[in-house]
Amino acid sequence: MVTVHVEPSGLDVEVGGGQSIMAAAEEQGVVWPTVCHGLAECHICFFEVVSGGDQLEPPNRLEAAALLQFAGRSWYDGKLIRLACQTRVRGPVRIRKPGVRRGS
Amino acid sequence: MVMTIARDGELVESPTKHVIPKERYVSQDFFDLEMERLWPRVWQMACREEEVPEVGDFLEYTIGDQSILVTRSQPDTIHAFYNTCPHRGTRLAAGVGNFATGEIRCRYHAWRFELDGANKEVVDRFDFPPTMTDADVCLNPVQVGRWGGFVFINMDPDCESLESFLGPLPGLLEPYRFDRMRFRSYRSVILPANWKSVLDAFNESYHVQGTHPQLLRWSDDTAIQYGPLGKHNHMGSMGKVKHEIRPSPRLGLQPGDYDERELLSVMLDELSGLFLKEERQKVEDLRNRPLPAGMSAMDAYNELRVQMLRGKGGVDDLSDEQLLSSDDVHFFPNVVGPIYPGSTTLFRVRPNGLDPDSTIKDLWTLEWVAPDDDRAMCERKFYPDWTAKDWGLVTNQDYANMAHVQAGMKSRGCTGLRLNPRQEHNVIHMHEVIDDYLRA
Repeated sequence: MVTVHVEPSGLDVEVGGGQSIMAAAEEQGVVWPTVCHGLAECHICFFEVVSGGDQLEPPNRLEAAALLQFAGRSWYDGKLIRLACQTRVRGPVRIRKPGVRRGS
Repeated sequence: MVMTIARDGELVESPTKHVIPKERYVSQDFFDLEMERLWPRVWQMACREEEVPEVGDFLEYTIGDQSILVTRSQPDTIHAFYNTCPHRGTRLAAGVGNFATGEIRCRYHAWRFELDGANKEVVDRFDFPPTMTDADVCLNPVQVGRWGGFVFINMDPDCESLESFLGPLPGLLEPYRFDRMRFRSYRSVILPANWKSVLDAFNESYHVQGTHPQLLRWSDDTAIQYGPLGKHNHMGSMGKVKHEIRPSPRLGLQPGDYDERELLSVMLDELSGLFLKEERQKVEDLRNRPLPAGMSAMDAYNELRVQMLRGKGGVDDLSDEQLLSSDDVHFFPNVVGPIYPGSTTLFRVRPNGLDPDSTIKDLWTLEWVAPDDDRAMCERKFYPDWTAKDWGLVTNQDYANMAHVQAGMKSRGCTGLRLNPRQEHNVIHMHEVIDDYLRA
């Protein structure tokens, strides 16, 4: 298990091998904003890496295509953006994703 | 809700209630009835006035297998005719151009006509029987109506007036000053679906959460109201939401979870084709400096927008509220699009020939120009294969649905279309008005 620390909520999500961050979060009762629920189509689950970016597995084909939608946007210049529904992790990471909260 | 279908060329009531019969989209019989009873009787946007700016200019408008010739005969007079010579039926002109000699001359046997359609010469008329009257040898006229810089045609000599047909639209749309707009771009594309399938994709926002989920980050798709405007339809945001930018409630986000400036910036990137270059620059400016105290990003953006539009002049009588409004309108039967003060993107869809499975979609982007701006008509671009061009994510998503919806409706397992009574009301209303024409 690897810990993903999510700001600003301060929640820790424990991610198992082969699991996406969002799938792990949902398993642990954490609500992650999404509409397509894992298809890399809605882009709503995206997050910004605060530190530990080198601990992320590289984007798969689906995610790479989705990330093109962030690449040309000046708002995201200089930020490392990934999709939580696709990203797998090797080691601890701090990320920023407003709207992630413990489910009721 | 009882809808009609075609059986053996006759209009009959569909045995299926509470669904839209799929035959209305896929059957050749139904398509043929539309060609016989809808298109020849309805007002249609043939072109803009600036497409025929000079005396002698002409434009060919096609609908199905019918070709209509629009001409400017005098500086302020526009005529339209069936595009056929009364001698042998030859089509008189194609595309756009100018009758440089001030007359229309048939290429085949050189019969000549005035720009208003009157016959000028029947070559060797003395050979013809005296029973052939002047009325027999003039061009067969089509009704012309003009509003907001648009030229409408109607093939029905007994049709209602354009004013009556448009009903509440001119009043609602007056602040948008369509007559001050000119083309910024004109693109046409062939899409593999019925003309109504294509229109429907732009006449409801229910599909946004399915087809364009990425837009929900900055658009509250649940706050859109739909409603009929006479024969036409309207789609728009409710009161306060017009001036807010916020995510769809489908995302479950709370106010502190998003930055308005980010949403605004992403919105402009994603819908860049709908915005003017100056507007995109305004958002860049906003991004790079702190907001004045007590002002939201949207307030600041709207203030900049009003300044920009006022800078263009000619809008002194419009309030700030009017300058910040927007409306999505479906002009029955076949034009739909978002309208903003200063610009609009209209989609005109027409059957591609007599094929119920193929549509010509024209994308007209219009914008306000200064009164002394007499810009030339923009280039018209044509894309026979929509996949050959990247239209931007949102449009690509819409176009990608087209072949699937048309093919799926043909399945023996498709028992009709179950439309959302509220969010797809505009589509239902369009079918009802089509039936008014088919039944008449």
